[in-house]
Amino acid sequence: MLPAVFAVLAAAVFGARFARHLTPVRALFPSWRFFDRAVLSPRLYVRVGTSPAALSAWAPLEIGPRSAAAFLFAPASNLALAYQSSVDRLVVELGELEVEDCGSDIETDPRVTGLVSYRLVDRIAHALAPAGAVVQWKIIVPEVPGDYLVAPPVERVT
Amino acid sequence: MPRLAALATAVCALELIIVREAFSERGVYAWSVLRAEYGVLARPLGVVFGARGTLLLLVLQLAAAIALPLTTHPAPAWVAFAATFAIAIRWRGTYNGGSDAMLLVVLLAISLARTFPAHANAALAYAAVQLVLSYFIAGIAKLGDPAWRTGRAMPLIVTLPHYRVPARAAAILASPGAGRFAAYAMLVFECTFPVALLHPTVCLVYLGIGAGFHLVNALAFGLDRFLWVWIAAYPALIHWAGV
Repeated sequence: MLPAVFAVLAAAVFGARFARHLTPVRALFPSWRFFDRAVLSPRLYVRVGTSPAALSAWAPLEIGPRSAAAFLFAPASNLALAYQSSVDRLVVELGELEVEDCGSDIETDPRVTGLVSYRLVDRIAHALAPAGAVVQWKIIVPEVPGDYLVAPPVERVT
Repeated sequence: MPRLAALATAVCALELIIVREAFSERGVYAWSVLRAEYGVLARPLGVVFGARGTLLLLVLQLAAAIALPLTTHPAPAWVAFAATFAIAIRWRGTYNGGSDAMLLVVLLAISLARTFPAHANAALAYAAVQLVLSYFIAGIAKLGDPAWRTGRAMPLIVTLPHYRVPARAAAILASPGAGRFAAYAMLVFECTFPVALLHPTVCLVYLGIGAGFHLVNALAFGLDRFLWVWIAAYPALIHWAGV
């Protein structure tokens, strides 16, 4: 059994190097590289209004304060971390697409808007807005000048 | 170990059950959105990963967690492992990063130990080695970043808005002296963690520091799952260090 354990460990360490290609099952191949780079994270900003011409000022997406018991049980906090992971992953996927070279606007490029990560971030931005409101979102990446991605304003249907 | 693993698994299941709106069809993580990434598997997986299927998976995960310490039969452990793995897959690989991975390590070790009792030591060795690697690799990886080596990392991390670090803790850790001390203390603890394997007393000291480390992380950064899940793995190392 011990050789089998070492085989599994070797597979886990080897698999961790290629975890990007094993995305759906990557939990089996942990990299254990927590906070290996201390850098600021991409941030999602949202503005809402009654029409595209009457939108509020941009504001960072706020989830609200943590509860006192969140150090033991934190459903909302962990969902907020999942939101941030989705924003981070969209930025990574956009970096891999190299859409700057395609000659069209990044906001309307179907390779961008068709990404599951793009749709998830779109739903995150809309999740906290009232029904019927027009919502627009953008992502700001620290160390990248200007806005990284600005989505067109869209009315929240439900 | 099964009791602590059961607690960690139950917390993970309950947290997602409470925010089930998020994986409903009206929620952010609706299966109708996620399914595009699963290709030909989207249709069969949809049976399990739709809103109702996911809720059933979580109830199954919770039930397995409750059963885990009540019996030595391997079935609850395998069910908990399978449900936890399925939930991770449904969230595009992981819901909560490394905590999902460590919970799978712990549940796999318990499953194997109960299925092959004669080789329980080897199953616990798997969990113990992964636990040691989780600290050691995290420490070594940080050494490559100048921000960690110069003590600038902690003041930066506490400003990350998604962790919502309480103002008082953020003010303390953002000060250069305290931030540098915390960073260096963490690096020393993580990089030297394999020493815990050498002697039972040293092991207990390291695990005591580790438990405190995860408690502080839970209090400051809200990383509650890392507290429950990592402590659930500690008995494997205690066993192998001969405590």
